[in-house]
Amino acid sequence: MDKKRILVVDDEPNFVRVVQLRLEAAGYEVLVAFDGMQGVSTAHKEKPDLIILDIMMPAMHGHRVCEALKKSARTWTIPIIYLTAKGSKEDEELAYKLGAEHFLTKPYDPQVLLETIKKALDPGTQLEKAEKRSS
Amino acid sequence: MNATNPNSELRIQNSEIIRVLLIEDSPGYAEIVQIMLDKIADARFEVVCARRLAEGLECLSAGGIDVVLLDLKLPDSRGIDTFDRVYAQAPRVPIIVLTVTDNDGMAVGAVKKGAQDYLIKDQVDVKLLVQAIRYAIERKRVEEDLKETNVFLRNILDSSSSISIIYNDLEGKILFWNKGAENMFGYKAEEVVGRCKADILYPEDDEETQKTIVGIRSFIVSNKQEISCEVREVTKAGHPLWINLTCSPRLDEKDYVVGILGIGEDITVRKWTEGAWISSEARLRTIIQHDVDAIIIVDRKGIMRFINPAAEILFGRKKEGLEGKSFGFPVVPGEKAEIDIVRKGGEIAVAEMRTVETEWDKEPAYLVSIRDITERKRMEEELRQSEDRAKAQYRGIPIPTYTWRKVGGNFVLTDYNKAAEEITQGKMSDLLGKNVEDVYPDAPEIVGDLSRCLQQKILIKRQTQPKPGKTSKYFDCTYVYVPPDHVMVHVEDITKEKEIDRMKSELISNVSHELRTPLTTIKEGISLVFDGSLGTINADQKASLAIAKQDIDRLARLINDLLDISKIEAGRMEVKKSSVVISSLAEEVLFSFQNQAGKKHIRLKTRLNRTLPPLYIDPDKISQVLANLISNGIKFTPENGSITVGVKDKGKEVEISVADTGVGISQDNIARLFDRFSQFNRVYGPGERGTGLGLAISKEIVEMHGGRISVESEVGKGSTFTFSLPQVSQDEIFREYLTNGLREAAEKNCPLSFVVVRMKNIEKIERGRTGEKVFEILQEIEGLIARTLRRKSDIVSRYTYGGIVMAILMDTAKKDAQSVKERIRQAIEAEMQEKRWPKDIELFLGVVTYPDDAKDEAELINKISQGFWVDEITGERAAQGGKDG
Repeated sequence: MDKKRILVVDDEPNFVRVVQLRLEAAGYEVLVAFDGMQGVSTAHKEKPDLIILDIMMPAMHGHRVCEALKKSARTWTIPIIYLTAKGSKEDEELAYKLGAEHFLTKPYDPQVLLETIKKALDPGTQLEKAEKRSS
Repeated sequence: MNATNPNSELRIQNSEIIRVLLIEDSPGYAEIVQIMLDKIADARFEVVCARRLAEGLECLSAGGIDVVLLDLKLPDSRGIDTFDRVYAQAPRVPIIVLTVTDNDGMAVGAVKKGAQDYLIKDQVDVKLLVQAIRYAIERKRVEEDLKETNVFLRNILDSSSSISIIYNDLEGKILFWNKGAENMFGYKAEEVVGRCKADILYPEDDEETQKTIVGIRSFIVSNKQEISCEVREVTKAGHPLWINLTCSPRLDEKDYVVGILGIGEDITVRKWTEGAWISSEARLRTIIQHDVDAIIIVDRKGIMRFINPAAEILFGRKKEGLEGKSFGFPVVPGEKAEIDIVRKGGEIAVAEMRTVETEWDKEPAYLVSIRDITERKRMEEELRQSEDRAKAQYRGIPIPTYTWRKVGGNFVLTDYNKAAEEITQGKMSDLLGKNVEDVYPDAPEIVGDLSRCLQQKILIKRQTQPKPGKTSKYFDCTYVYVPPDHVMVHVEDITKEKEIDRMKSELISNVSHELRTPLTTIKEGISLVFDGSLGTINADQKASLAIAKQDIDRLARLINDLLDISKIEAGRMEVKKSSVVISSLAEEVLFSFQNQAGKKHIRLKTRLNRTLPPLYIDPDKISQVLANLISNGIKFTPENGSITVGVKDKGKEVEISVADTGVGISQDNIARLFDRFSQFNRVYGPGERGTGLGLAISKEIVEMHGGRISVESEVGKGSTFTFSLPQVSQDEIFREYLTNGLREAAEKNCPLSFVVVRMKNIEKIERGRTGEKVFEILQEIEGLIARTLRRKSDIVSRYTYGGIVMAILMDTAKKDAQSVKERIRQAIEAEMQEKRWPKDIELFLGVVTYPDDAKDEAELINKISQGFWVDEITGERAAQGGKDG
């Protein structure tokens, strides 16, 4: 089976690098984007299997990235996991409202992150979601 | 730096040290107050703390206290009694009541009884506290001054024993009666106050007097001027008296006559002299000899021929020195004149002089009667000055202040002070006499607040929001009841403070982001190496990284705790309450520690009361408290011990306890236990370390919920932490939602919708089953609705009357509420089928919207509980719907 491709969108290069190491160690292929705008265009071009998204970023705010991706016919099926230091209740509620699959805060637990990714990539979850949309 | 100093607006007027007596049994809260007061740069506070009422009373009796902050619940006294005792000890010291909730009406009760203000503990911030203290001291000062002025005035009025002073309202009802009146008429004040003047003083048969009195009243009402006349009145013993009566109107701020002040002098003798023809000079001499007025007979040439003893006293000379000398004042018969008399010592007396023609030694002469009115003049002056003084105090209050008077169903602006004039740049005078609706056309809530303040005679506070297109400012309004029909409103611009608050919370959020981001990278970098994801490492390398990891986790916890503390300090800790079954929550949190406890072979036990109705609390915050107590317990309990979580019904409260069989805490340490950064019994070596903030935060959270936390411990045996949470009825919660929602809707000028689900045949359902079953179903419906709702501001509430569950949707028009209703209906139908609810259940669904369907609270409750039902779901129908779909 092909390696699953995960896009990490975060403006902190150091953070992106360690997450990349973690995900690659777990057997994923990792794409990176360092601001929101780049994130949206990479998602369109590459159609990754999953996106990890920060909120506070230059060029385009995380919530707006999520909104744009979930509105586009090409990208709306890609599960989005928020991974942010801005962990307020309002942000979490907004993220789910915009269609995100999960919401995690920094600093994160590597095990939790990997399990969350696994769950989001699970074909069963994907199927259920597609059904919900079409109904 | 000064421009951004958050406290620059919090100046206290005098630079003296303000001594605050804090009577509060919780050392943590006392510390917070101390910290808040320390922050004020421009004023210095000296805080004296008392933990018990007895201690507090002792401090008060020692004197020197400027203001008292009083918790009504103390170990040795509870409730309003606490206030009464403090007030009795020091009636002149302003008291501010501290309370955890204003639901019980106790704080309001204290304000009614003379407390200056009350503060709700979890809402107190630096600004509010200082403002409350400042207002309390100022208000008390004005009150005391007025009280003093009143006592002073009464003394003056009573000290004049020969002049009657009677104050009555326009119906003639006597409101004041001085010593002079008692002497003159023979009635004691207590016999006549409250009675009608006409029934007492005027002979029934004397139509002329009755007419005169009516005439005086109508003259005063229409001309608002002083008037003098002579009337015949009658004493208690039935003797007729001639009174020279000077009546003056009492005007209120709007120039309405509200009463008549009558000053009377007994002129019976003089009247008699004038009226009856005195044939015998000897008889005249005897009469005038004993008159209380100074009487002088002046002949046609202006020479004084006779001086009576009263005149000797008035002039301060013997009659031998006066008789035969020129009188000196112009004498015109039938006229009244005011003259100044220089007495022997150079002292000037003011006197009123009247002249009538008479005969003396068979020659025509003038009878001049002179009455010393110095005292009356002085009294009038004092009266005027005391009014000026009260006015000056009012005008001098540094906060814009307006006074409204109730006229009919409306309020009219009757007065405003200098600070108000300044912020409106002199436009205030145009508004005087205008109705409140004309002055504030965009703020319908003001009339409501004014009426409520007047009706309930209470202090009301309201913070107003900026209105787009009108004002960008926030105002703090305090409504103060001024008897009998006025409301004084202090309006303070708090825009700057609000802005600072906003900046503070932004700073907290930014700092949290900035700290967490690098911490995340460090943690992940180390974890990657540690867990071998990047290749194998040796045991020593691993041990070294394990230590680093542990301390990173500790740093992360510390950052979270510090954020919590700073949120609490800034008053920004949000408490988002909802209905929570506390036993389930406690159990859930306890068993999340299963792993951690298992490692130390610690047993987790519960002693829960599962029949308790849900509490109205913030589940996240209370989980945080429970988690903190449980993790402390595990930390300090040796292997094979146990942790027991208990939930007990205590009537008005629920008591939650976390007991361990650990090392225990010594008595010395218990006192400091809830302080910040206090850590005890720390075990050296590996293991999770605390931040020293957990208990301080827990205490804050519990107190924000109106509860209290305490600990009992025995060294070597274990500790039990106990906290209480108030039980509030569903209906009370609903009322709170409703009131707040309506206020917000009115302020923002937006609709407020209620999607109501009502179990129509609740009695029938209850009859067949236990109450618990019905409760369970309502509970499930509540959960269903909660899951249907999407916005943070949406609320699910219950109204026990008739088994109602509803969604309260802010800023939602009827049309949108209808679609929410549809979603709820679908959710309920699906659940009915799945859970197999009783088939005979009948639910009605409806939408009620403010302002379309109802304009106020009463109408809304009526609509919600009575009807407005559109849809119907029954167990039968849902089952069928299920089969079809």
